[in-house]
Amino acid sequence: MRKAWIVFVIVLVICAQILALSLFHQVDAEGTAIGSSVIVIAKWNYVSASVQVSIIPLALNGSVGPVRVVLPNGTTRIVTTSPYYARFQLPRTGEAFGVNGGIGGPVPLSSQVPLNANVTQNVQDVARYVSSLQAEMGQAGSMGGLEAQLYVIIVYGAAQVSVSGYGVAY
Amino acid sequence: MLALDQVKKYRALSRLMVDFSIIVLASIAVLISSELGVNLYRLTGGFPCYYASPWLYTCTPPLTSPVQPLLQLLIGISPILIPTAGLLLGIAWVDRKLKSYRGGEWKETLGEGFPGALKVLQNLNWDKVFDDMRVSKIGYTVYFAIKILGYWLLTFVVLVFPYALGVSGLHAEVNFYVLGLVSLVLILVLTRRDLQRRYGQVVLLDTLMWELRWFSNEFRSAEFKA
Repeated sequence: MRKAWIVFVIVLVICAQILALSLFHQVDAEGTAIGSSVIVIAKWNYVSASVQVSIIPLALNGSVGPVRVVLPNGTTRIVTTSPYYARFQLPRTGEAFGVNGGIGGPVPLSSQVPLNANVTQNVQDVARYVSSLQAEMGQAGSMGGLEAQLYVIIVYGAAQVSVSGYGVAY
Repeated sequence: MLALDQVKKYRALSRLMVDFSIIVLASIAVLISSELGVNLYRLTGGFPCYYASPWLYTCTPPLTSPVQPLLQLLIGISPILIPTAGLLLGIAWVDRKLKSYRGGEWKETLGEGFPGALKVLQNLNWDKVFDDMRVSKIGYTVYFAIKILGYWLLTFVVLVFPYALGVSGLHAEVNFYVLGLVSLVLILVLTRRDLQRRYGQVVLLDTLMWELRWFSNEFRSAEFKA
């Protein structure tokens, strides 16, 4: 009888663990940046995430780089030959208990996908593209505390770009 | 009496199924805990090494420790490693407990001759014996099915890498259903003797149950007449 209780407790623990595991979300995106490319990371405000971006300059017509990278805080990095890695801690800024929403577009967000990323290559008008994304994100408004957040990295030049991130929604 | 000892052994096996479940479930709990730990670590510190693309394994310089890639590899294979270890540990535990089971408590009484044999038979709780046999049969079948399933999964996992590498090397499409079928057939061929023996034992238990039922009826009616 005691062993049956042990089985019951382990099953309960596993159920709780699975529930906790479902709070974590992974995001991966990659692409070849040519011309002006935009890396977009989007998340809901109740998500805390850590995202790593790697930019490896590619050789075009026999020469590598330079690649210019504009980070979300506005600072610019010039990447020449060696790969460039950046890690971003995206904090949780609010809570939206019991509120769910959804956004479409290139980086869709929903309650199932609260963290997303996308690499768009060869963007002709970067400023217009970014403002259209921001407008799309703003459509969600701030319903019951729910808010979409956007982080934009702009890459000028030819490079292999990959985004890998983990987030927890609570 | 030897047959009854065997029944007791099977009954012990059905009780050991709980131990087996505890070990396997505990290994699953350990696996999920490690996944949670890895996720938390990815959120806070992060691994310096990662797959930039399926064929490109890169590390963010400077690499903090040479142990990190090894640790990451271990974490990568832990979804296979931990449940497999749990399953093998469970099987080893059940086998060890079964081997340590001795029986033959009746030998001393039976040594007294006919009165001893009568005493042993009179002391038997026949209803309990039949209950034990029913539970044993189910426990025995379930345990064997889980064992085969575990070996099948293990074979599948062991064969995945050489199969995927070989098939993709030949530019053919990797089909895991085929591998599943191949590993099942392989494990059935490898365990065919054991399979036959176990099947024989279940059939034997059935036969024994009918014989004992007949014997208990005869014995009880004879006892009544006396």
